[in-house]
Amino acid sequence: MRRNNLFVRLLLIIAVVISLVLSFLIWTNNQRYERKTDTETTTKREETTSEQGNFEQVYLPTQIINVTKNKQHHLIYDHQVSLATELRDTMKEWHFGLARNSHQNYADLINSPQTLQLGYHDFISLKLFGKVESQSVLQKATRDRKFTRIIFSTDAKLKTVYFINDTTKQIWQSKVSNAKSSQIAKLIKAADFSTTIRQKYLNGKLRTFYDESVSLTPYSYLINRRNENTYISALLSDSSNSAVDTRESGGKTIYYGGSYRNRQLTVDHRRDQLKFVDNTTTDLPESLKALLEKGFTAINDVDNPLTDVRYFGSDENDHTVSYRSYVEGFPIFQQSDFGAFEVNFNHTGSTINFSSRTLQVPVPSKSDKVVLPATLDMINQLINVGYTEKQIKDFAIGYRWVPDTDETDIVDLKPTYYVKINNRWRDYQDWLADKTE
Amino acid sequence: MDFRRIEWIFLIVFIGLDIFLGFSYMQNNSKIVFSDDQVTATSSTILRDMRDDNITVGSLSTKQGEGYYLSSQVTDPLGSHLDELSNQTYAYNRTTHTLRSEFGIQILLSKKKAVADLEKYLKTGQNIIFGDQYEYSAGLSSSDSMVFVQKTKYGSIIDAQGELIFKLDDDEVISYTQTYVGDLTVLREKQATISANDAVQLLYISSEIPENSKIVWCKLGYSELISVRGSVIFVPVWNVMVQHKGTKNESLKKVNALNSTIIKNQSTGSSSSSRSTSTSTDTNSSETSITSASVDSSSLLNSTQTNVAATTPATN
Repeated sequence: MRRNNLFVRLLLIIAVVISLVLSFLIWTNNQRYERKTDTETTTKREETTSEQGNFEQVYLPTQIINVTKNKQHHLIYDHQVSLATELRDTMKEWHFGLARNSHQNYADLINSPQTLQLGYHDFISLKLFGKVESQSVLQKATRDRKFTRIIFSTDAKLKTVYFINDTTKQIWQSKVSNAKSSQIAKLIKAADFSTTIRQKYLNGKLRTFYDESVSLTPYSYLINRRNENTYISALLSDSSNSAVDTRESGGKTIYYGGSYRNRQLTVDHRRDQLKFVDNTTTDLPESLKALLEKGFTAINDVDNPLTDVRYFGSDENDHTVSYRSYVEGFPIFQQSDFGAFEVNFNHTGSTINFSSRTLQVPVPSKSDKVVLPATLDMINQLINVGYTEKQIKDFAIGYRWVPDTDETDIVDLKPTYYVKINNRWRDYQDWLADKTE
Repeated sequence: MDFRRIEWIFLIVFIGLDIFLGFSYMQNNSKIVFSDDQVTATSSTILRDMRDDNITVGSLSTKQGEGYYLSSQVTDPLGSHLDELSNQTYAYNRTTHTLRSEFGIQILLSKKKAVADLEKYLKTGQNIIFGDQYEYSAGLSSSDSMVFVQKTKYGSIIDAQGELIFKLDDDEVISYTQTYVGDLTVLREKQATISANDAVQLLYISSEIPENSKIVWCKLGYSELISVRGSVIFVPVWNVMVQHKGTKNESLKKVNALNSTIIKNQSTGSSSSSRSTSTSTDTNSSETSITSASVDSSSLLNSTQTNVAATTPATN
């Protein structure tokens, strides 16, 4: 009787312990629940490898500067292979350590001989860079950093990589192993374009000043105007509600989709520009990394080819990130009012502005090389006609999108300086010719 | 007494709870496996579907390659070297840039080393213009013709614009047709190409591979994409030869390896017409000139036959 009593009590204790263990397991593994509810999205994302490929491409550095033995800065480019991609693939083999504060002197570092500098046009997150280079240590870091430039040595003692914020002049350094400088040297040697530059500040941002006049090749492309139906099916249709309403106004068509018409696609036929507003995503990205990641997801959903698209700039206060098409190392302007894509997040929803014109196939160019003046000459020309140095907020060498007059499917990309005055990017020739804006 | 009953009730309740929790925990785990499966299965389900459709595919590479956008100005490289040819009667069509030539004395090939013999012939002296820039393609050749494709430093050209086709009659070579792509320039930096496996799967998904057929071979080579502004643009293209198992009919399918789109309306040996900018009148005129050229060449052949035959040295 007594033994029976003890047995029941023991069983009860075991049962209680098992229930506690199981409850603990289920509660702590709550991501399994999340995954379960996500089955729909995981199956939709079957092209994860190409998505990762696009991601790595969009966040590639856009400028490669080689500092020689005698401290000369050369902007380099290779017309046969994409240097930035090759460097990324080489760096994927390296093992990055944790990034720590560096005591290096800023001016010494950016002028140190025999180094390679990889530059971004605007801030990028270090954790995001870790994702681009598949470096788990960088990705898992507790604190994220914002930087604009990467510097490492090109001689035999390549052991440290520096990440630099050119605005605050902060420097972080990460120890690398398995890095072979001979591979880097080979890539630099193969580069077939090189021009002397100087890096100087313009309104708080470090910019590339071309010391001498630069001779650049114009390019031509066959372009594709994607049909708006492809965007309607990519952005508006979902499994629960397939009805799409339409409204015409002026030269624009607005398509409404989603359960409470909470997604709108506005098509401007005249300029081939589209605007997609999604009122269901009202979360604001809390960090630069989140902004850049969400920005990428947004442009990836549009489903335009992203081969030539690179990250151009972001505004954390405004929660805006912009992307431009890049050709042979330089951005394209006037493809639309905003470049290739502009993504904005706010409390009422997210907005993606994009162009339905995409570069398709390169074709031989009709025109000869274009010679651009040295940067200081260009700025002086602007000052001579009455602009002040303060007005010039930013500038970059870029390609002007000029539609061919005979063949509408061909666009000529003419190299020129683009200057940002009054928050507008325009060809410096246009600023010179017309002072009204 | 009461306490023991309560103990029993608790025991039953907790065992019930354990069963429930255990069950829901197991269910969660199995769901994960299921959803993961769906993600990775896409490629293998295509393979399974292909097997169900009785389509035989050998082992295909899944490795991505690299290629360029190339352009070649439409010039006449063959036309300017015609006078170098000896011991042949030829006709050259300047519209299609095609050279047709007949040998005065047929070249005899030994069955076993026909390819080696012809390769040697190509490389010697002035037999064939740019002869050393072609390589044998077994896949494109048949019992009555041997096809050589033009090779460049970027890879071989698999297109009617860079081909050398020898007509065979048993073991004798009677004549050949030749086309040649002039100077190639790189338009853009190196780009990644899709793998052979991707190309075949794309063809299958797009219903380009019929049931009960076999993939004979897959080869990456440059083909014309469009002709624009007086230049021809070449892109790396996956050439996939599909053979029907019943009829043994072969058809060549082409997939643009840069943007993975299928290039349609092209079958073996007839892919030179440009599809974008040339107008219909253009293509008509070039076709008529082909026929006139062939008439020309035959009359030319008759008149000069004896002369050439006398000067042709014997091969072998």
